[in-house]
Amino acid sequence: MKWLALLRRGSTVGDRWVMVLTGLGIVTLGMAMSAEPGRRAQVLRDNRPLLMLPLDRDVTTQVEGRLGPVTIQVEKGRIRLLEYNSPRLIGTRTGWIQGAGQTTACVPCGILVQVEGHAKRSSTELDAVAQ
Amino acid sequence: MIQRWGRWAGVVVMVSGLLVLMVRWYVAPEPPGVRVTTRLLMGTLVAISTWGGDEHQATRAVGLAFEEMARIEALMSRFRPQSAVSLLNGAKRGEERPIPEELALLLVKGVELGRLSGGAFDIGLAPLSDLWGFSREPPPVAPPVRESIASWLTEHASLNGLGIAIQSTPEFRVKLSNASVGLDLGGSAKGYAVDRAMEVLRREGVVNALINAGGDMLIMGSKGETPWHVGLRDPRDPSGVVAILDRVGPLALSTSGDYERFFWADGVRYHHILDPKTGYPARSGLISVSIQAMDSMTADALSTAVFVLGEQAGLELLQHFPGSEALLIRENGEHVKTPGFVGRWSKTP
Repeated sequence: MKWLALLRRGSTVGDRWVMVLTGLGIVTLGMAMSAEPGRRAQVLRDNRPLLMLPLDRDVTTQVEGRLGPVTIQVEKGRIRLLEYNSPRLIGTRTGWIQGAGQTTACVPCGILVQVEGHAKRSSTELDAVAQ
Repeated sequence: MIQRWGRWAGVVVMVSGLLVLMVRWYVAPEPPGVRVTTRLLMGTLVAISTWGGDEHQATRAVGLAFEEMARIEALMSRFRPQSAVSLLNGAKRGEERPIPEELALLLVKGVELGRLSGGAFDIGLAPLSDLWGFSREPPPVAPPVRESIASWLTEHASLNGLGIAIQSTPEFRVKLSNASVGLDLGGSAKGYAVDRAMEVLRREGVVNALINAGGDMLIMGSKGETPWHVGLRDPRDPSGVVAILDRVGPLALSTSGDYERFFWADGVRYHHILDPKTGYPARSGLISVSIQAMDSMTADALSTAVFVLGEQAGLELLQHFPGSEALLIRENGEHVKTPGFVGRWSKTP
C-alpha cells in the first residue's frame, strides 16, 4: 500500500473528499448513460395501433380480438400474449419476446405485438426464415 | 497555496477529460441495425426489414409499402366481400364481367402458367378450396365427403382448359364457365403484393430491404458489408432450418410445403395444396418446394405448380422460366436442388 501512503502525504483531507466525490459522480453518470433507454412494445389490432406498453413496468391487460379477449402480459422486461380463443394458439405458444423488432401475434384474432427498435443481429442470426 | 491550487487543477483536468470521453462514447453514432416492422396482411405476418439510410424516410416508405399490400388484398382477396375477385366469383356463370386491368394481368399470367403446367396450377379452385376449408376458422379436422369432391371433379373435368375466359378489348372482361370455377389467387397474389411493396420501397428511396410474407420473400440490396442471411424452414421441425442463403438482392424466394396448413385424419396428412386433377391434396412425392426467381409472383406461383407436379415434371416446367431455380425436399427427407439455386444445405442430423 505504498501508493496509499504517498497519496496521504501528498494531499489534504479536502483533496481526498474531492477525489472520492468525483469518483462517485463518474460511476453514477456512467451507469445512467449505459442503462438501456425505456423499451416499449406496440400492440396493434387489424394493423391499427391500440396500445403502447413500456417494458419496464409489469402489467397485465386485455384487448378485444376478433375471436374474443386476448391477454397481454408484461413482466421483467418481456411481453407475451395469451389467446382466450384461437384454434392454433400460435401466439400463446410463441411465448415471451423482448428483443427489438421481435413480434408475437394471433393472426385470426388480428392482434400483433411488436417490440420497438432496431434489431442488432449477430452475423450468424437469420434475418428471416422462409416458411 | 499555489501547490494546492495546482493539485485541484490537476483533479479538474482529469475529471473533465474523463467526462468528455464518456460523453463522446455515449453520443457516437452506433452502427445501423436492421429495422423490422411487421403487420398482419393477406392472412399472414408480413415483415419488412430495412437497413441503413435515413430512418424517417425508411419508416415512411415501409408504411406506404404496407398500404400497397393492403390495397392489393382489398382488390384480390376472395375473403373480402367487396373485392373485385369476390364480385366476380359471385357473378352468374357464363356471364362476362369487367375487371380492373391490374387483376386482369395477374389472371393472364395465371392462365398461362396453368397451360404450361398442364393444369397443375389453377387459379380457379375457389369452390374446391371451400370444400376443404383450410382457410376457415377453426380449421378442418376431416376431409370433405367423397361425393362432394367427385361431383366437383366431374364438373371441373367438363371444362375446356381452366374455364376462365379473358377478353382484353375494349376493356378487360372475364367469364367463369361453370360453378366448379371460382377465382382463388392464393398461389400468386401474395407474391405479386410483395413485388409491388418492394417497388414502393425502391421508389421511396430505400435501397436495402427484405420483405418476408410467410412463404414469400424478396430481398433488395444488403446490410452494408454483409448480405441478407436467410433460412429455409425444416418441413418437419418448425423451429429448424434446412438451408441457409447469404445473398445480396435482388432475389425472390418462395416456399410451398405440406406443413403450412394441414390436419391428420386416419393417419393421413391432409394439406392445403390441392391437385386440380384429383381434388385432393397433392401427393407428388415432395413435402417442400422452394423456388428462386427474379420476381416474387413468379416464385410464388412456381412453388405451388412444382409442388403439385412433382420432381421430374416440376423441374421440366422451370425450363420455361429462365433464371428460376429450385430446392426440392422429398418425402424421405432427401433433397435435390438445381445448379443455380443460391444457398447451402445445412440441416443438422
